[in-house]
Amino acid sequence: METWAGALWDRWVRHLAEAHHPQAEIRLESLRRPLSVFFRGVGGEAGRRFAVAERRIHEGRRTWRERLAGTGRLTELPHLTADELRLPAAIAHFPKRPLNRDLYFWLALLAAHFVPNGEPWWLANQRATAVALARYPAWQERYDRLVAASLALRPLPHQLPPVDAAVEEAIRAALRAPGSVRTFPASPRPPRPVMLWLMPQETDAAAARRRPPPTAKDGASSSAAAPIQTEATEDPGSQHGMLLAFRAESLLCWAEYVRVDRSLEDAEGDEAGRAAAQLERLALAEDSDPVASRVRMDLERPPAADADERLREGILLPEWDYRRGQYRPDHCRIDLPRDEAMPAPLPGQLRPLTQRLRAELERIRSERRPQAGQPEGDALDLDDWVRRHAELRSGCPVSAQPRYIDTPRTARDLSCLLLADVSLSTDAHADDAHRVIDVIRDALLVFTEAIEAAGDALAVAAFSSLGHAHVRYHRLKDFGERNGPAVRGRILALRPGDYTRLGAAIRHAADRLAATASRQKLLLVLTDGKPHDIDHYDGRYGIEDTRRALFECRRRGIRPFCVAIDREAADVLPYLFGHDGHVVVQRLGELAARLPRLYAELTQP
Amino acid sequence: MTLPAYEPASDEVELFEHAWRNRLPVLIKGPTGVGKTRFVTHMAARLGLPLFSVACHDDLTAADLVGRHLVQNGQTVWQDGPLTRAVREGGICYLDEIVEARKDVTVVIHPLADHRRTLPLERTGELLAAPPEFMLVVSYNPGYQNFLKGLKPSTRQRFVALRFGFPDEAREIRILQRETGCDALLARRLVALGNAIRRLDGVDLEEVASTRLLVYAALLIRGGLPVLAACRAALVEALSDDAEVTAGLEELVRTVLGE
Repeated sequence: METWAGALWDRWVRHLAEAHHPQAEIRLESLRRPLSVFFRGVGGEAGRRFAVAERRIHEGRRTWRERLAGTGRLTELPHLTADELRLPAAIAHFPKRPLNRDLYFWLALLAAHFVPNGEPWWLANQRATAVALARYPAWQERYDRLVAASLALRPLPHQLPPVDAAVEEAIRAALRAPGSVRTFPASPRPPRPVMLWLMPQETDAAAARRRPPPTAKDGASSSAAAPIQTEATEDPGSQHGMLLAFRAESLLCWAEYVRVDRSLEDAEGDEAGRAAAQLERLALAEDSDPVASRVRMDLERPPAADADERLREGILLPEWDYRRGQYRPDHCRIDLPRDEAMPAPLPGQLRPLTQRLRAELERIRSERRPQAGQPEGDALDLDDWVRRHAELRSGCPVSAQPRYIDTPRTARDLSCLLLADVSLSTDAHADDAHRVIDVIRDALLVFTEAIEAAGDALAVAAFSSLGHAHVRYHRLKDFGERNGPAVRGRILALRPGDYTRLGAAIRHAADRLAATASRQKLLLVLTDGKPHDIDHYDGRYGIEDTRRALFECRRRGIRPFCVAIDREAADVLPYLFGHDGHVVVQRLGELAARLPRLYAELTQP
Repeated sequence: MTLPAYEPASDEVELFEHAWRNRLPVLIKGPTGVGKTRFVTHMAARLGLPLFSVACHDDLTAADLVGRHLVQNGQTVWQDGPLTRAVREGGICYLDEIVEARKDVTVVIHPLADHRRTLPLERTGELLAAPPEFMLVVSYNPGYQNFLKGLKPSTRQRFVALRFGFPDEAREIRILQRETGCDALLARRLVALGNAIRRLDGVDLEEVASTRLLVYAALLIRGGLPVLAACRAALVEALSDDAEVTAGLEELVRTVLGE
């Protein structure tokens, strides 16, 4: 009863306080692809990814209703980072769905015109708004609607203390007539976030905070350009309002925070102490998880210390540095571990599926296409016969031999290399019973068996990496090697590794594929996400290097194709592999069955 | 005879005339719907030459181009193909999308495309020498080259090559206005939309909005169809079957052209 009443109160008070309309909610997930198409179309950078903005606390003034409800402090603020556009996971500010949807598209349009040139956030947003509206005047009407709706949710200036009122007036004017506000009143506390604007880059503020003696520029950016404190501390006391009601999102807690944002751990104890004091309970536990501690250690490696170190021996590969627009020669080293594993039979539960797929792929092998004009064959070539007959009567010299239609077995001349990502992220659970790595192992086993039936040359490899000098390329099956217990044993012995240096792995795989004599070469990449490694191989850098590696493949006559097992990656895949160069497997359980069929489709003559 | 309208991008008209005067074959490459065929039609009219146009497809054989014997009233009659007619009569033979044709076609055009300028007719035992008025023009679209199909270097190297791209903004606006009679504002916005869609080339779309599609959209709008409906039919649905991509494209249409 108590809970029920509490929930009712919470709903009522929240409804009163917050612009939250669950029935009109639009989720980023449902718009990811359309948004990225739209963003590129209006001139946004093609390599930029869409991500979910993290929840941050803002110190802005809240209405009495929000204070009553304990809401309005944590928000997901849209902002740009070096290579991502981070948007809220869901937008439900407005009661009408089209308006919430429009807000997503508006933020994408704004981001496409946003130039981070060191201007204060309120100037940069006005400028970007003005440029976007000037370029796309048809948006004006929708923009006005959004402004009207969002102003209705902001506090009225006359209800605020004079200092805050001046700021609020300025924001209102800037929204109504972008570009008109040239000076911004100083205020001890930041204003309420503007939902139609992008917040300043979090990294600037965080960087300013990390460096104790701030330079003049950093100081300016941390005070003037960062109205929002970026510490995502949670304050359970104020979150609860008058009655406690269960809401999953209010459980975001301090412990979780420690794991994500490491910048605060490096800071002096002041803020940590304050946050700890706000906790109702403080629990200490020894973290014995080797995975987590490894990640931490890696992250603490000084950046760029060995970034330009040129490696000397081993299999060395270049890497593309998009910022310099050139290759870093001999930047990556490929390790070729060959951990001999116990030979193993095919696991029993995979046998029925394997048999079915083998039968399907046998058909590719025996596919026949009729060829006309053959010296021998199953049927008379009637076209040829009619022509001969006509020519004979016209007095042309005709050879006596009739021609036939033959349907010979056309020899397929194709090599395929399947490259699987076994980075640590594959340790995650795919469903209740299986981890991603289990699904990948099963898929590799089934695929190897099935392709054998098609009779094509196949190599299978897996990769992971730990920095540029350690890109591990596990040869599970080489070209020319017979499929058997040894191969299966190696596949079954696969363990999740560290990171995903996709570019280097693709380059090495391409070298191996190029060494085969086949006419057609197919490189299948099975990955669960995006390029990522410890030494700055992430975000734009990793994406551009991977894209370059794929470009090299195509130039060498190798066709790359990506099978992705993560929907998150869906917006960057078209940029890397092209719209017809990838497929996202929605249900992981289907991967093993899907992969060979996909192969059959791809290699159909 | 009125000249089919053509809006030159740069010096392609002069280049073509020079090639014709020097008896050189021409290869035109570029995406679909940017005016390759229109250009050839225009040049044929301009030079006063008959045009023999062949749209190549994957079942097109050398005999379809050269000719074959037919049986008529108990007699056999030799029927010239379009290529043979162009060689006999003197004119432009235009092979559109040459990569689609069967491999034996290249064997026929090779002797015509180099200094020999001859067409051997194996079946009639003739060796036709091309007159000075004869010109061979082929086109292809490098965009959607199949994994297995492509123009062989030995073929490519026999031609003077012209690359056609999408027209620049001012030129495309002029083309739209001339082809459809639409007003300048609509033409400008449609071209802006076309350029927005072209930024998605190779990333989200296999083929992007051609000038031809923009012309279609303008014609539909001028005919009285609402702007959004016209663009959906002529552009959005014509370019992609993926519902998520078309949703993004529709937002682009609304952004550029309004509600």
